[in-house]
Amino acid sequence: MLCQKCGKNTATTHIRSVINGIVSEKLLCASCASQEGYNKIGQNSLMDMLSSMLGGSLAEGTHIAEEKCDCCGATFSKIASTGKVGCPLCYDKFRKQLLPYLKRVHGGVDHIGKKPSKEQLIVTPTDKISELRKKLSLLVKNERYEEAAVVRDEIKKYEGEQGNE
Amino acid sequence: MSNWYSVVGNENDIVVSTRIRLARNLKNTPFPSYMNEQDKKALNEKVKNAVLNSDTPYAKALKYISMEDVPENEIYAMVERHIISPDFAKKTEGRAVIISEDESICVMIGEEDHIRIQVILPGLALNKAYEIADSIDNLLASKLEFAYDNQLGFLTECPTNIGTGLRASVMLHLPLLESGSAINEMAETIGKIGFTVRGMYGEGSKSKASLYQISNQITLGITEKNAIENLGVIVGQLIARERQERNQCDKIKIEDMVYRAYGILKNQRILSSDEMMKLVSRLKIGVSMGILSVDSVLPVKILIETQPYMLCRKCGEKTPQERDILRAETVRNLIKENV
Repeated sequence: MLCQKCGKNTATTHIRSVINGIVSEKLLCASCASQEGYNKIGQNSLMDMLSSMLGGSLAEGTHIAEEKCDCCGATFSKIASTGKVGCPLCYDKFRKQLLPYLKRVHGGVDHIGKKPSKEQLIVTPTDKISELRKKLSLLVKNERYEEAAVVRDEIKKYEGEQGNE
Repeated sequence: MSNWYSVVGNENDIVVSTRIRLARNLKNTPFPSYMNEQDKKALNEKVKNAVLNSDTPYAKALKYISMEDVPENEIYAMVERHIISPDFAKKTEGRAVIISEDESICVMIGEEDHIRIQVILPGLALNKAYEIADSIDNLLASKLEFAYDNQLGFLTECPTNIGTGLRASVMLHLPLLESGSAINEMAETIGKIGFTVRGMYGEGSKSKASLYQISNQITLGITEKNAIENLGVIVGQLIARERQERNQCDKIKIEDMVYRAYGILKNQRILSSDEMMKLVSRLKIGVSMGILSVDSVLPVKILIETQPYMLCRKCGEKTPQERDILRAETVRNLIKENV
């Protein structure tokens, strides 16, 4: 079968996409597939591992569901081809696809290490007060008195808290 | 203040350095390869303010440097001193570091992840290096909101770092294990249990001067403490094996090799980088086995201070031939200073 884009070369890549529930399929030759960004499979070992983990769908050249991350716009095939995730939210969006790979690499998929817990996030009142004082002097310097008044009240609040302890 | 490599560390007959790296990213923010210049600048400012405006000793002890202000030779000299990664040096636009005076602490901003906290210490110091990195992490976490997932832990651009974001590495000098090629066998075994063995400058680099970096690979499903402990056990075994080889070797042959190398290093006038590495490795065996009585930090000092960009940094751009002459002179001077 000939490539549906250029109509000259033999089609070697079958692309199936689902966008908003509408399925569309196209058959492309290597060169046109490459132009559309589907050529990066097998570029590096990480990618090989990743694609081999995806039940063969990517490895066979069939691209399903070009869903995009709402935050950074990365697609799963881009993540697979570069071995790099676009943004933290991609992990949520493509969690299902990424989990088997993570399991293969790390042996487990559940984090048991350090957490950014509230205890670790403690900002002592003294910390906070000195931070606010700096802010206050900057605001006064810039003659932003209304905002400065709010900060001043905040400082009073923290000083009160310290006094109560 | 002395650089990290001019200080004597634990187990320094074999261990050159210990490095801890923590990868952290900001919540709801695209990873650096998806960031534009403005985003990168904003990121730099956020991290800079978090550290430098804090009420911790780090505010005074650390300095912020925009990599765009650093001359090219100095950037690569920083790689040679192991304070930034080769990847970080390749593209410096919009990148910055927050660094301590002795360069043992370096927070890289805008590398593969938004923040990479690196602590490098001489000798074997896994716990101490982790403690320092952890305290900087806590400081940053108190001011910035990190990308963290309840199941997956700290989120990173490369899924191989997800979870703890911790990479712990120890650089070892293993000349006798290397000469008996036991190291290849051991590297294979180490690889099977989730650790990697690499050359001196990390990923993709070859071993020179018989230096090997052992690091953990698994970051998800393991605690920081366990990852560090496991690495410590492997390093302990390598140290024991290398020491055993050193005890059992033909002493006179080693002495001959060491004194020949020392003789050349003291007297040469033209020294290539490759020859320097080979000779320094022998000098290090001599120092570690008590054959030579020179300062124990001398071999690593020579190794780092006579790398190509470290030389250019001091004396400007040189042709390779001029550099070899300068290297020869630098080595002779360092020996004079440290005997």
